[in-house]
Amino acid sequence: MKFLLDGLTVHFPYEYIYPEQYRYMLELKRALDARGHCLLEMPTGTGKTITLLSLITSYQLAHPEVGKLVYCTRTVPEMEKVLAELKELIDYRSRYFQGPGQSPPQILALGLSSRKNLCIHPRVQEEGSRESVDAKCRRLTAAWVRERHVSAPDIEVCSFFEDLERAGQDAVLDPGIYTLHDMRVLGRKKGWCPYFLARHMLAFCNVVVYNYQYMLDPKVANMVSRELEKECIVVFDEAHNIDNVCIEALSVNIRQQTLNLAGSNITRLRSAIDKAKATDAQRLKDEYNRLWSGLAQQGHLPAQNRSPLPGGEDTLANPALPQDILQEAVPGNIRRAEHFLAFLRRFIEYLRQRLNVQVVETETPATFLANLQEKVAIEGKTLRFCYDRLASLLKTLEITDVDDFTPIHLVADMATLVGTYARGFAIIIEPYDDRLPSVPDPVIQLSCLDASLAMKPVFSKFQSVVITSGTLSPIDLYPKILNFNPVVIQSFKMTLTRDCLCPVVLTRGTDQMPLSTKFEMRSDAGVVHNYGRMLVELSATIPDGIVCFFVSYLYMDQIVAKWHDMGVLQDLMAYKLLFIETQDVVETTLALDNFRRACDCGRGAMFFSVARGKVAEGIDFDRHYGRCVVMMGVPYQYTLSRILRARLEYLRETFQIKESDFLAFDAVRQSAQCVGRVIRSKADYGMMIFADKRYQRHDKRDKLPGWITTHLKDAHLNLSTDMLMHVAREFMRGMAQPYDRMAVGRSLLTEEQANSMNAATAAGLA
Amino acid sequence: MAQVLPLDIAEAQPFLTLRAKLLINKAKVDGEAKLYPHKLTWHPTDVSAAQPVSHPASSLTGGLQKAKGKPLLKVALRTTDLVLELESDTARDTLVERLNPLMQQASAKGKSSADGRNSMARLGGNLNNLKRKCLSEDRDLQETYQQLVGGSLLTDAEFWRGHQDILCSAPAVSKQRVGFSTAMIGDVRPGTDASTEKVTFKITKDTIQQIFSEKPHIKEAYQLHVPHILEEKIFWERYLRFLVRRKARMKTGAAAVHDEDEDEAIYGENQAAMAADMQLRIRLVDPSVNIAADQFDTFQVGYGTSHSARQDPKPSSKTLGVAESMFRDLNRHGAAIVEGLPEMNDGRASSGLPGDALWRERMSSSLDDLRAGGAHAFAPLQIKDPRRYFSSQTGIQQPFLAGQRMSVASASSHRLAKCFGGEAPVIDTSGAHEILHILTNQVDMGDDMGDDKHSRADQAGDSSKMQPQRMAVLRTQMLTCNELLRHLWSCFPPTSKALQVKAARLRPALDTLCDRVLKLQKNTLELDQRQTVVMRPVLHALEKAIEKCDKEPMLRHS
Repeated sequence: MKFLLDGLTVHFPYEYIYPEQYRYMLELKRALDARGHCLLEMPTGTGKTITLLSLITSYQLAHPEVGKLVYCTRTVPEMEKVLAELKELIDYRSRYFQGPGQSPPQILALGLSSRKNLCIHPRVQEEGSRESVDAKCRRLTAAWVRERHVSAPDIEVCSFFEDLERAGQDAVLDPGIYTLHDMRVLGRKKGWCPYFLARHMLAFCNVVVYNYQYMLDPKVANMVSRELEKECIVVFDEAHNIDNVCIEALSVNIRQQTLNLAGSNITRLRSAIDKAKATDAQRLKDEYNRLWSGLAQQGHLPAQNRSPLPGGEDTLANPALPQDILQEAVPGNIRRAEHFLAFLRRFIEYLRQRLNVQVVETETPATFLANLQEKVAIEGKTLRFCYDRLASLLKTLEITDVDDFTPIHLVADMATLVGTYARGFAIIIEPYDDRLPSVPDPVIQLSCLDASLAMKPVFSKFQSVVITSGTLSPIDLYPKILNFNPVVIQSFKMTLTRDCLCPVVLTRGTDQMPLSTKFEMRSDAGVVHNYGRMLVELSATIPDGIVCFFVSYLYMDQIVAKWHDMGVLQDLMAYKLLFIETQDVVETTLALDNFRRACDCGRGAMFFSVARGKVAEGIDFDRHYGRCVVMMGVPYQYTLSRILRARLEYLRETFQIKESDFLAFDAVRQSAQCVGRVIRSKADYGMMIFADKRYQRHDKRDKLPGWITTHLKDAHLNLSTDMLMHVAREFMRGMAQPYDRMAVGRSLLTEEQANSMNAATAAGLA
Repeated sequence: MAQVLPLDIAEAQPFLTLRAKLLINKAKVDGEAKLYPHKLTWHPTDVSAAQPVSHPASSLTGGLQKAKGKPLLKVALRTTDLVLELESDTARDTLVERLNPLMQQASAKGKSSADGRNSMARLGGNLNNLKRKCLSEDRDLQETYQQLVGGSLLTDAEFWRGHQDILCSAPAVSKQRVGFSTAMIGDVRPGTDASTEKVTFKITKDTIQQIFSEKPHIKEAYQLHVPHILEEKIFWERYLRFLVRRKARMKTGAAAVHDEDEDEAIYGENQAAMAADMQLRIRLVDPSVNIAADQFDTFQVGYGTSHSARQDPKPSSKTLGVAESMFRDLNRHGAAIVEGLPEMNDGRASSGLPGDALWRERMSSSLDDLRAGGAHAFAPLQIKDPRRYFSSQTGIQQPFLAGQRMSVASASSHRLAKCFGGEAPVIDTSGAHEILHILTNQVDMGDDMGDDKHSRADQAGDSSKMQPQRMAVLRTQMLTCNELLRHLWSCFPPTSKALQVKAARLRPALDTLCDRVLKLQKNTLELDQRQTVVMRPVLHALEKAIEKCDKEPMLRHS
């Protein structure tokens, strides 16, 4: 359909549109017109992604001055889905430009991921880890390796990279939508490296889809997204956990092993310096001179010799945010390579000493620096240059096996961050994880507490940033914790013609004993048994797929083992096949694929997952893949965690957010996100079972998004298992009836209705 | 098209005939019971009073029941009972005496057929039904059968011997393949007796099959060790002991002892091979669920927070072992069952879409209610070619049951169906081109008999103008000739007496057929000379066969 929205022609690839999609577009357009940021919450299953894509691509078409759309997703599967939806949209849109003398507007959209997901080099892509792929790639594509290859052809280089480099300006992608798979296919066909091609094409494309960290993590963002123009529209989809990503992006953790390896790195660097002194002392002198002149960022390669296509020499950028990087010459005491290594060694020794603790220590960066100054006479300001100085040294020494030098990089990054930020960070030294006190695991962490730090450059650089999700309740909290002023802040409701959502709160088992995953109750045999029987009965009642989310892996391990001993699993498998998420992602992926196949063929299956696991983050269980979702317990974070405590304290002091409120908010948004996985459209239907007596309390229920609470009937509260089965049977019977078109005009709008709404809005404004 | 066919040409005479009344709803109908070597029949004296009854011996499995003081006999059948009132107790006892061995024989036959060594034997009493089914499904086969067997040129057995392929592939047609049981087979639990750890485990062929498919390394170990190194029974005993010990060991966290290490070498998994296999499998996974790709796009080790409150700590090795092993077994069990489901054999291919397009289509259909067209709440009715299903049951990935006999027309239609992905064809430009291409090929292939390109085109035009009845007659004659010639040439060289006899028997039939074809040719000559060209190759083949028979000294002699 094509309709007018506040003067903008919008192409939407369906014959109908949901009213909330229309309103969402309206609000989004207002934010884009105002060139400001917005915060939009729309219920899950109302087609947010296609709404965003439709409006923004239409806006780009009408306003050529608007920059590219940068669509940030949490996971690679989501990235693939966004690109698939965009492809459908663009194919549909081109129908409207088939007339004589018309040509469909061209668009170039691509997905960008790590080398591991894009590499097509036969040997490099076989490497098991991301780090080893990166390292092997760098070994073949670094500028100095390629220079040597010219004189000594037996030095191996990557033919795909070379061909891409040779193609020069001709190495461009034709307009179209390119998923990661498409990029690989094209790379093989043309003989070009897909990773560097995608990086190269970033400047030319209209839409780029990549992971959050390519935008939020300064180490990656300064390398990849540095060139993006201000006019870009940045979208963070499924952004309910964006604060956590921001925090992770600026945190570093160092273990004993890291320090040992960093020590070895220093020894290797030392011998490399000695070797360089013997063979090419001028290189080191040149580096010294450049550092002295204040050209810290340029490393050993003069600017005029730089290739337009940065190859393997392009490493992770400075961990500090761009506006906080000191643009000064490197201090004299670390300008010489040997002095810098001695400095690092001293710092490592200090860290090693600090790591030898028996009890947890928490301190601010200022205290840490004061202590450092006192014990080993290291200044905070010198620490700020550690990243740049190390990067320069590695480039001077032409080190390509960067993965081997990750430990020393970590130490340098930590030094840089601790030297740069006095507020919003905490240094926490723990001898073991509180949950496993018997396992010694000393770690020193520089933990970011302020999510707004990582977001700040994004908000200040780009004119429009859209933060959206199905679960942003309470929506007022986000501007606080991310520290921004949205021009539009809106939460939409879902219009339904039939109750396709059936949230219920299960508080008791068949024997009327309370059900909860509270720490003191979770190991109780009666509770375990009641949870198990509930699942068995559900599996006998609900057709096709059922998903069950547990509060943690540990709890899932324990309860499933007990069910196995009790024979619950055997009973369960009489009705449905069982697949389980594990911490091994490959195993989990295969289990998911088989789960879907079992649902496709009608056998039916049940999937056990974890509320904060990978599956809960980005996998949909729509239609027959999920007719029922069970949230077993309230997925609280581990409340005794030192990092969490430090963050809660910071939130309380800075934003006056109560600890208990934040914890409940975090847990409930997580469970809302889990249960929302089962609805992907209004024709879809699913039961949402909150199986814990604590959901009965108002403080929990109130934090659920409005689209869930409005469907939570009084009769569906405080249920026992037998009552639940009755509700389930009724619901399934009702929903299995054909879905008629009575929804048109109420929960579905036709093109004419959309246009008339626009006319009505315009008249109202006039 | 039901039809009574002369299948039992040499059917045996009844070895017992008795007057008997049949009890139908408390009414007694006079009639005659006859006992044949393979069946029991009853015919009413007055044909209007009741329908005749005939039951094969294989259906007499339920036993016989005599009434005290009355000459009544109740014969229990599979689905119903047959109650006969005989003239006297003696007559009844005679019938019982003769029926008993017949029933025992039938039951023994049933058991031997269950061995499944011979695919034909497996058919048991259903062979005739199967033959009828094949004939009713294939009109050409039926015509040929009537011409040759009905005309006493070939016996029924000889005819079907030439079509073993149809019969052998047919059993799967009659019976739906059953998937694996959902129950966990490999889950071995010791008895609840606290003092002893006794495991009772019944291993059947199905169990073994399931273990092999869930655990390929056990299959490899089996192939490597049985029977060269270990006896089968010992192999399985050691395997079960190994499972029980490993389970106990994992629970207690104890280390393995020396004996167990030996078993580990036999039954243990090759982790590297397993990981490689998983990496291979993951390449075929739908990208919208591929969370493994995501781990390469997150924070590197050392960045982010450790001991995070949101993530679980790394469990101790003891916990990890038990949970991980159990979850892996459960996942693999589910995977094996899904793989083994008959429906899944052509699951992904059935939509006619490549894997990449399939996930896109699946994903884009999530907002189906926004599309016009209404009835999306109902699954679109997709009537697939039923033969496709049957072919998937045989395990042979051939598109049709009788791939060898697939006609040009059916092959074209199949390709057309593939071209449209099983959906109702929508004629767009590319589709129209495809049809044209296929039809052109069809014409070319159908006219291979001609000599040059030009004449082929002419013939195509002419044959399409032939009267349908005339075409049918010609076609039947040609099929009969081909079938007969096949049988004849299979007798050469006539190295045995049986072959000589068969060839000699078929020789006069060749003359008859040759005459018939000549006559047909003469008739068509009067109408249209060019039509005779169609029959020329068959005539030529018949003449060559007659010539061969005449030259063969052994045949001349016989």
